[in-house]
Amino acid sequence: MDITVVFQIAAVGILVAVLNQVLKGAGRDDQATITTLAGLIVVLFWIIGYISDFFGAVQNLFQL
Amino acid sequence: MMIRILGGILICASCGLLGLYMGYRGVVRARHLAEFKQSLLLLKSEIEFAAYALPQAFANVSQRAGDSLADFYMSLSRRVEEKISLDDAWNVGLKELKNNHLAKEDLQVVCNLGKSLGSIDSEVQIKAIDMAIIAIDDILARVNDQNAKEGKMYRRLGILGGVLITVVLL
Repeated sequence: MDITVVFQIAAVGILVAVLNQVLKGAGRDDQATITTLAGLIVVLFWIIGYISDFFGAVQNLFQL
Repeated sequence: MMIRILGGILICASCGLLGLYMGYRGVVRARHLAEFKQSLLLLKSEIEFAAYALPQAFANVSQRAGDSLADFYMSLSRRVEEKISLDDAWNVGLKELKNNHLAKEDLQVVCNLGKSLGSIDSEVQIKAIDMAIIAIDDILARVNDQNAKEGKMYRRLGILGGVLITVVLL
């Protein structure tokens, strides 16, 4: 697994948290929620392959 | 790698500038509204105290109003002298206003004033101008309030959005 994806996820997490605070401070709660959801979807998109690999490995390990 | 870094810097810079522009739009709108209010005060004094007819009052205001409105009042004066109805002249003049960042709501107030100004009675004209000034004051207070809150937000959003896009694309 490439370690850079971990740093990328961390960076996106920090940036989305700050964006969320900025938008909430300006009274745009709904847009803050949309931004958070967008960040979550982007990160899920990145890690979906790894999650699939992980479940495959678990299946192989326990011969399910 | 150098190209990626350069691209990232360009994205951050352009998003930051976009944020600045979005924040600046509200400031320009408030400035234009204030200029318009100032010109209406001038117009009111021309009609009320100097007792000029509208074409002359418009011409006088055009000499004293800010650059963006000088052309508007001058063309208005010329068109009214050419016997074009004030309502039509007013609307055409508003369409010709360049680089204005006035919102629909602001233009609605100004358009309504054009309809009322066509009245023959100067009392009615002055009352219409007063009403427009009150409406502009109301909008101006709201826009200034919004600018204080949103100007900062747009600047931060621009830079943070740029960094976020860079991180996602890297």
